Amino acid sequence: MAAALALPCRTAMTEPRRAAVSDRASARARTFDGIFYGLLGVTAICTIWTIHAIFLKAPTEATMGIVQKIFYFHVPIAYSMYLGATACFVGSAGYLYNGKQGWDSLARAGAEVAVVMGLLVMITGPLWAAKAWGVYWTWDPRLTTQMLSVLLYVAYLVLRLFTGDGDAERRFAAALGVLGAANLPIIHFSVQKWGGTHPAVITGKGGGLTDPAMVSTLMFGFLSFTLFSIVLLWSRYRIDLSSSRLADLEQEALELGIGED
Amino acid sequence: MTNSFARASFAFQAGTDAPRTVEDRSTTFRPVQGGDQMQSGEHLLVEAYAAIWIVLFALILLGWRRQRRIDARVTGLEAALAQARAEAPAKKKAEAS
Repeated sequence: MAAALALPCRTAMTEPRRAAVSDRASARARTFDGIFYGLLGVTAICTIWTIHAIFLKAPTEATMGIVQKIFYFHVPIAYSMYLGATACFVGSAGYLYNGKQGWDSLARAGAEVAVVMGLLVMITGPLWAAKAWGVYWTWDPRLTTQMLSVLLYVAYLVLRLFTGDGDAERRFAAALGVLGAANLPIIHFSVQKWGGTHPAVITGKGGGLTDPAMVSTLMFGFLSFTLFSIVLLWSRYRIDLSSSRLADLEQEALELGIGED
Repeated sequence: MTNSFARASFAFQAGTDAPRTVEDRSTTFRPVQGGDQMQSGEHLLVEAYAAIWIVLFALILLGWRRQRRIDARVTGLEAALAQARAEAPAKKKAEAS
């Protein structure tokens, strides 16, 4: 991991200078590792507390019964999808602006988080709907726009996976990442603008959570999944940076005539 | 329906009014109206919960494994490159002489 965050260095350097740069990069990588594992620990604690709150603290809802408890992670996961998509947008815009590897890695990590969280929203939502509406799926505006958004980020990942890793492909993907974000406000305001069957629980007027335990459980859900998204983003970002570093080293090894192993 | 089935079954066991043929024992299975609303909320909740944690843990595990694999390769390549760089001046000298 120490080598993962070290920046690729193609310029000619003397050996002591190279060693000093490598030491600094290793020290920085160790610090980042410490922060990452600390964050992972906090996320685990928050997640365990959220599970405890959902099942043991939050009261059962009077009309829907126990299935309403899906709400406490369905909504935070949907919000996590927005976080991933926002990271993809920021990374893509950054890459289009200056073409640096870090921005591209952020965009890719964001798209991966958006797809995973989006798919989870589309699994948990229909399970709740099966009980609440009597059907798993309906072409409601919120559901339809949500599905479109997930498909957009799937398209982004497919593009990255099956095309080359050149600048042109990256720029094309970055444009998709920027344009894909346009659907996020449409998802958010679809319930207010077009109605449909999907409820609008969290509104400016406080929403439909009447019990303080319900509110605190939802807040813990938001906190846990925010941390979870950051951990996932960071983890995927590191993987992408490491892959890029590996590609650079392989290129350098080829130039020096070093064999595969 | 359940009660009539139970009564018939009891009567059959008791030997009173026992059906004589297989057809006499036939019964009809009818679904209740609004079957979708009869789904267990507990089952749906557990399914949703299981899906979330299976997907998230699979993602974390696969990411962790991939990161380890890349790190091992980077470390190996860096060591090989450092060695090659260290040997490069000696090689040049040997080639020149």
